[in-house]
Amino acid sequence: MKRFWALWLVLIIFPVSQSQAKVYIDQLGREMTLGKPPRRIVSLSPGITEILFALGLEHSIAGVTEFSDYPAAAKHKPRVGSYVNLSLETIVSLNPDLIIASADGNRKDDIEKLAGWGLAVYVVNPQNLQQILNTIQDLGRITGQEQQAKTIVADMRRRKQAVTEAVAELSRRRVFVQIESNPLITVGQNTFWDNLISLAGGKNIVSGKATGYPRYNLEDVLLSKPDIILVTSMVPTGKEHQQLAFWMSWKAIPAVRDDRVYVINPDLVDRPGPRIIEGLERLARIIHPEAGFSQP
Amino acid sequence: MTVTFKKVVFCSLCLLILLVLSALSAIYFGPAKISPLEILSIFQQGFGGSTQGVIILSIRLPRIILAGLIGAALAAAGSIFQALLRNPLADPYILGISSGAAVGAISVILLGYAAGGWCIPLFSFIGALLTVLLVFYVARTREKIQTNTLLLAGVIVNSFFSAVIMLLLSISNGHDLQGILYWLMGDLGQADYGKLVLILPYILGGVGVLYLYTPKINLMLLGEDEAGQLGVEVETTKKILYLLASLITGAAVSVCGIIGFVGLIIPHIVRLIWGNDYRLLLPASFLLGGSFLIIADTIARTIISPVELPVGVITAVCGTPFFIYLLRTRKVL
Amino acid sequence: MSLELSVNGVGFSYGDSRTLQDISLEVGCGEFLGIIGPNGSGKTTLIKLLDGMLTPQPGDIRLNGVSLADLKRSAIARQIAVVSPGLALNFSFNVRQLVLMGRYPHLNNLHFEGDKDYRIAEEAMAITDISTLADRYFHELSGGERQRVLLARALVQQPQLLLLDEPTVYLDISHTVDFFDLIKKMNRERELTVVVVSHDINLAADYADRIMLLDRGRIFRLGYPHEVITAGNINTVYGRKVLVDTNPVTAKPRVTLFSDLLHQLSKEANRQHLRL
Repeated sequence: MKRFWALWLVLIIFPVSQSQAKVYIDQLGREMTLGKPPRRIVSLSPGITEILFALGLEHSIAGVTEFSDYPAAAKHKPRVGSYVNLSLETIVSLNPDLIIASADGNRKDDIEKLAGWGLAVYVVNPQNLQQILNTIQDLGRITGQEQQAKTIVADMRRRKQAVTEAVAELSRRRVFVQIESNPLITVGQNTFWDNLISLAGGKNIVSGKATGYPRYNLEDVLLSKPDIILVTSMVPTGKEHQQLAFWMSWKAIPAVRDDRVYVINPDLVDRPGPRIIEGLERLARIIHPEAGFSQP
Repeated sequence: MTVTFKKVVFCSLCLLILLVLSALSAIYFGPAKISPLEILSIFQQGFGGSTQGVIILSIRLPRIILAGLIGAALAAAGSIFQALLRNPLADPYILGISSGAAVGAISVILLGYAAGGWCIPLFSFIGALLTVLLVFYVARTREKIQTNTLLLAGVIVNSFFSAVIMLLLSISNGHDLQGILYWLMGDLGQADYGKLVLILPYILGGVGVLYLYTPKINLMLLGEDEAGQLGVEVETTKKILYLLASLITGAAVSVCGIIGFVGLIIPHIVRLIWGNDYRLLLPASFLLGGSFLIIADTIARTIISPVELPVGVITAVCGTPFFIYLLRTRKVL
Repeated sequence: MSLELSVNGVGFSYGDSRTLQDISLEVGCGEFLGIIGPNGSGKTTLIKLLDGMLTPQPGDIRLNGVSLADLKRSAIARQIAVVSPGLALNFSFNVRQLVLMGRYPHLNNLHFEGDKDYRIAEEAMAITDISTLADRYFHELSGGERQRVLLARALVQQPQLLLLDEPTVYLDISHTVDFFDLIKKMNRERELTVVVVSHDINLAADYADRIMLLDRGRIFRLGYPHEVITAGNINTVYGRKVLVDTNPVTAKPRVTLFSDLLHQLSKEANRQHLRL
């Protein structure tokens, strides 16, 4: 309770007493004080990087994590290690005025350390599409790009609306997602995949049976009779043909029988950033081609 | 205790029945509820039927056969390594030989020579063989191989090859290969008849030839000098045994990754029941190893169904207490 | 049954240092040869050479005219058996199993012992008085029992030549005499040729027909016990003063150790005794 009151005090007093410094509460409920709008931002996940680029902050980004490959300009930003294995030394040496971390992926003690050294660390924790929209708005607010954020979020809302309205009356098609083939790994509840599939008018066959990214029994895939199978592949490696060929031998699966096994870029679905709306539209086109979405 | 031809035939028959029984009960378990009667009619109809038919004949059956074959191979290979090193704790997994085989398989896939498929077991075999030599070299202090040094050598070699596996998988773009999980924990989930045909000749041929060497192996258990004095060409025999045991291990690892402890548990159980005569121990371990891995894999795929556990988790859960027991209590097997 | 083992100019070295040099001898059928010598004189190496486990360099060892190097191990094992001291097993076998293993060189490709093999094993266990131990585990036996098991295993090989390397080193005096009596009996009754390496000079002198005294890898003397075992020879080779007299039971030379310290102490004790 004490902390709660202290928080309020800080929130009320600081903006008035100090001309610039503002206190923000991040998505984990941590406090963070920020002076003038940040100009040296370090992003600790590829999704955050995409959001920052979309907000027009390209020149304010001081560092990004590995695999931050979108947009193309992100590839030229200094790297601060990977997602799980951050190089704290590199981050500090970049002299950032804001670090944006992700609760799902970055290690908690890394975040604590950085904050403990007096750096401003803002942690985001989106779990579904709605929360991604909130995240974009939050990041817009703390970086002083509120207007930009509003525009992006409004556009995404509109497109999401279009999808959900178009599929609202349609039957829910059964979908199976294959993340890895050997061992067979899929997606369960509490994932962006699950959320997006259901928004796009489908039903993840694993939903209700498992959460996260479980090893899965092939037999249950046959039993659940998915109408659609999604095989994830980041880049065209030629390997996806083998993956498709693997499924081709299971004619008992409706998806295979009806030739509805698709390769999809997972970055569009499991990266919490603005492009996720493209992922939603792509899923909707795959699941309900009859709904007639136009190509963007 | 003494082993006669009759006894070998009788025990093998009993274990064969056990193997068939475990396979038959394993075919009944799975996410899909299919009654024994339905299974029977599926077997009569053959391929190309209902979803149930596909589940039984194309998913469960090849997986069960593969599990049986791999378990049999690992148990046989384990018993041979135990004889060669005259140490009851020798096992392809504990000694790092399985990791070496995995490195062999991964290398050939990375080099892109895996097109034919048949050369993956071969490279896996080369990896296993080189690892055996390495472990042997590291563990050998003066004349004798001490248990401690041997286990230490295994640990070192194992962690080295695990690192190599990680390295190879990191520098590849990840999609040429199956995941790290597959190689380090073992998986039977994508069994098909092609894989069976690929490794069957290596394993059956290898164990068949090994059987001819069982009287020599018995004498080798007494020590190399003793074996030589009793009429065994020790050096030749050792080389052949190393080759065959590595070949069998390599073939097993190349299709299912690293599955540990089977080679430790099974021969030891057989020793407890029937003693150390390899004329009985080898076939008995082979058959019992098959039953064991079939049961372990059935547990792995059904215990939290439809989510699966790596079968290596089950074998390690059974194997680790066993290993500790052996290490602490049994001096003479 | 005839056996002729001829050793011609044999030498051997482990690495740089010569272990054996210029060893030549003939062992005839039914002979009992004792090999003695100090530590490191090459006795065990010689046994391994005689069994073909090591290959002489230079020189040649012939068994009935055929070089050991040209014989398969199983062919050698059908004619030569070895008993070494203190076999330690990591794997348990019972006595019968272990004795049956001696049949290996005689087994055909079927790999399983037949009735004849079992009969031979039972007979050997009876001779060595271990029939009652047949179902016991080897590693549970006492040192004396173990050596008798190993002897039984050597006997079922039905060898013509028996090589014994310190066979009684872990045995007490009573068991030692029993063991050697048994060997001597086999030597006499079955014309089994025996070569025994022993640290115990008296034992070798009592049982062997001939004695070979090795000194730093060379034959120092080879001959009848009374020719080889003299105070002078022993003093030269072992660097130790000894008294040699005659064993009243066997009429063979008998060695008594001579210690300067003990000699002096006993003299002093004597003097004190006289003074009192």
